[in-house]
Amino acid sequence: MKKLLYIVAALFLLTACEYEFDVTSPVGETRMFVESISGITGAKSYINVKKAVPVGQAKSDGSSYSLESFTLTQDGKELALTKEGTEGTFSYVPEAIPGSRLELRLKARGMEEIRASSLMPAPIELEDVKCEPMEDRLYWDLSFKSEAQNLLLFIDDDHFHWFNIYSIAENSMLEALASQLKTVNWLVEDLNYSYVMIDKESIQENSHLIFGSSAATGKIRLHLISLSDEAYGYLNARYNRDNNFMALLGLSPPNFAYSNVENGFGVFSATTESVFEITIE
Amino acid sequence: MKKLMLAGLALILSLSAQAQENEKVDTLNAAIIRTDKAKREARTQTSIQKLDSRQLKRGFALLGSPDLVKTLQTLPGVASGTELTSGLFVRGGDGSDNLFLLDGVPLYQVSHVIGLFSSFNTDIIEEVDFYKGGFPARYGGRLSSVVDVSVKDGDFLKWKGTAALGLIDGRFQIEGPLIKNKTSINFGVRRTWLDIIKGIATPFVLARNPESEDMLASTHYDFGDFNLKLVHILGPTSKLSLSAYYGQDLMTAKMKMSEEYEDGSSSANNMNERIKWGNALVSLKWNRYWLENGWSTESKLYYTNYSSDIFSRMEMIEKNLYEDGSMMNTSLDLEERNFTRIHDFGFDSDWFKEIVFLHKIRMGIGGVTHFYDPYRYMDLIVKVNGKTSYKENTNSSLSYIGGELGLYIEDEMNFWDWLDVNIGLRNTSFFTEGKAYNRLEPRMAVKAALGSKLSLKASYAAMNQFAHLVSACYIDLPTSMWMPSTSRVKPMHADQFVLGADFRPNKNWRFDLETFYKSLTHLYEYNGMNSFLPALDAWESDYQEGKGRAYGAELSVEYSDTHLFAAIYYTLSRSERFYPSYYYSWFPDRNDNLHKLSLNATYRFNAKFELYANWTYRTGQRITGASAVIWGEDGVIDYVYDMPNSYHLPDYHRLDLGFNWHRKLRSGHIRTLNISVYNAYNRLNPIFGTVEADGNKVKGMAIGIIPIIPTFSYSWKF
Repeated sequence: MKKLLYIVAALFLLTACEYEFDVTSPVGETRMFVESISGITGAKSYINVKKAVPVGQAKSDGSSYSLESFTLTQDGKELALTKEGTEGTFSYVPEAIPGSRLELRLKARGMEEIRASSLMPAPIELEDVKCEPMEDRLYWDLSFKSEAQNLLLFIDDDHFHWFNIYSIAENSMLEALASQLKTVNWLVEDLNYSYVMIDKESIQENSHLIFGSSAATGKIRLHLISLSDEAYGYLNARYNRDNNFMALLGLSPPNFAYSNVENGFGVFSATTESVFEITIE
Repeated sequence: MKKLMLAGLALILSLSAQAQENEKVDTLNAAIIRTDKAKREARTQTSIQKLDSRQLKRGFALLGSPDLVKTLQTLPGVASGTELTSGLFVRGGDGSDNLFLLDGVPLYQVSHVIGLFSSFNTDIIEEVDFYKGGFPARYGGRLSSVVDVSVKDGDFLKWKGTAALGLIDGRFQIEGPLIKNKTSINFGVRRTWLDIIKGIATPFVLARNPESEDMLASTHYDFGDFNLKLVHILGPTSKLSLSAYYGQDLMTAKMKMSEEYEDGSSSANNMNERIKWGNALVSLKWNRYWLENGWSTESKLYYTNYSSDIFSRMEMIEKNLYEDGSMMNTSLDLEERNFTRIHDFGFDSDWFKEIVFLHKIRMGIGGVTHFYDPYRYMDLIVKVNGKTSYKENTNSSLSYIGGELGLYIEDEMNFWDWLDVNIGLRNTSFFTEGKAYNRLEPRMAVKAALGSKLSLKASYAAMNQFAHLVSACYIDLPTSMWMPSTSRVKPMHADQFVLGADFRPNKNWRFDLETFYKSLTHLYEYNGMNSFLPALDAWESDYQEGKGRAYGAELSVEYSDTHLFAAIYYTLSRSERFYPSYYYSWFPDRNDNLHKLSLNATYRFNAKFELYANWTYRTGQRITGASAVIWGEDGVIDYVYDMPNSYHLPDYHRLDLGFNWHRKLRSGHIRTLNISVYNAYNRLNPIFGTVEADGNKVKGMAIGIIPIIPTFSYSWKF
């Protein structure tokens, strides 16, 4: 009997087991990957061009590829591309013309040509900006002129000091846990840009956005970047991929995938930035 | 000899009296059964599985307790999701779209121990009708299945019952006449032993591992439920029934931590957590049959309630001693509560009549008022040296009232003795604040007999669902909340077509083949981030709308004779989803198991022994992983995601074995020992999986944790 108990106990001890299984990607062939959201880093925009190898295939030729053609246009007018220091990174300077169409065409040897396009969104216009110092915070109340848009938000000063942004103030701490502010990071040329992303659904029905930021005095700038649908879709999917551990474990919906690149992966999209300067006494 | 003759005479008289009494009761029951005739299934019914209490007890008993939902999981067309849970994903359904009825009253939450056991005590079940499609018009309100559980009436003649001890729970059921031939009672109760086992085991564990004292002393888990049914015969053709159910899970945890530092500073933390959730329902039902005109009715009033209550309290005290000798006492007191509830008041009235032998009419009306009232609060007080330095009190609550009114009519017709047609129509109106929905649901079923052994069948059913389970996690947790359709969240809708054939070559064999196509629209998935608690104020905006489709074929082959029951259930199916916010095209549902095979066998050697085995196989669950990778010099530098649920975990298979040993005592009581082995060959079937880089390779890693589980139970039927 004792032996039997030992055997049963031993079997229970073997409970957790990790083992490997084969994965073959539903994506059959190697494709090009591009990543560009114009306007997110100021006037100069960047595009990363890389090669994406399907899961299940060997590393083989690694990251190398050979470009046969690569053009970017704005309303049909070609934009100059400049190669940057990091491998596969190019820069371009689009004009800030809301409603203009940016288009990409890229062909690498041995792969299909990829295409993508995006409309530059309308800038965010505010009816009113209220900013009140309260205790150790600034409380912001923005009234939008037009319909709510998905946006990126950051606050800085003349010295490019970025201020922390806190949860939408009217919500309780519990609610804030359930709908945390989304912090989006964008890495270009070893520089990390950080924004808070606000979904248009989070902006209240009467088009108000209320939030807090760290305290400051003097001139500060509020940056509101309106996102095209493509830019929002991609940033939101990336945010989920990096932060939604429940979805990564398969316990909640897996909304990690977004691409507007035909025959390829990634994003090619546009944003429009509006800056509001405020002086805090 | 004289004494013997007298004894013999007395015995004959007593048997004769008993026979007369039985006859009387049989007549009575016949009348009652006649009034229940409306419950009988139409000849045209497709996609139904009927189970009685014997069949439920014949199958595998997890941890010693037979389980309704786990039995249903073995059937074709049903995916079970994560192992050991009470998931029921029927023909591409999402798990919250099954209508569970206990004596005709909806039950919103059907599991204990986060899905380990279902809420149904098999000792009190008379029969279960499980519909996967071809829904009769009397059912509405859910998209994918109906599980109609009937509680048996108590015996009108004698007292009897069952007591059973399982590995972690115990059951007791008793039934009998309160007034002979007039009023009966059936009462069943279940309770876990987990807390008692913990109490017994604690001294032994502590003797070996004193450090576990805090953990053992601070956690508690128990669940229990009871069922009650009172039936009173009003006359030869009418009866009144009162049914009640109450089930609850309770989990508490307490934690105390304190530390003292060399410099005289100290810190102390106290935490208390309590999670309580469960259902309660009560119904009053009247059955009546009118001999003079052939009408019968079943009408009822009911109340059903599901609630969950999560409470936590945290106290932190810190004493800091500074170099100048001053002391700062900081305390934080945080109290949080998350409460969610849905409760309904409703009525139903069903009427049935066989007008002529060609027409059987059934019609009815039902109304229900749903109350949804989740709320949350948080109370935070921070004190420094006894003075309040920060105080926050937040409350958020929602309150919806939804009214639902359903009307239906069904007509079962027979033509030329070989063609049966059932045409039905259901209209449901749903009213919630500022919005009204009206949905017409046509139902149709046809069955054509080709000779005496083969019949072909077809059905169509449209279904709508106005209740949405807002759940931040696929696991059945008490953090989920039921919400109504609103102006923004539309009612979910399903259309299902079934084509099939039924072949019964003789009384032993039964072959059934069904193909189905189901489309689902206005499906919703909650997409809040990293929290088990869906946000109250943003639940509608965090709800993503999509659609689904499922199609496949299901084959059932059953053989039964006096000793052997054997069944093969095979499903070949696809289940897909389209959520524009997740992916631009259709993608596989997470429960898309292409193949599912169940082999069941029960062999009864004699009145004492029976042996059973069940082998289940299915294509592995779907997981989401990167579809492509971007390689850098030192390995993967980025993962690229494309289609969700793109990979299968390794296939799932499991063998369960068990036997029952019945022993009849001189008193007539039967004692049964059940020994079962879950997962007999100890395959650790994968539950989770990831796709990740390992050096120059990207591979899938699966994790399995459920081992072989031997169990026993001992029951005593008196």
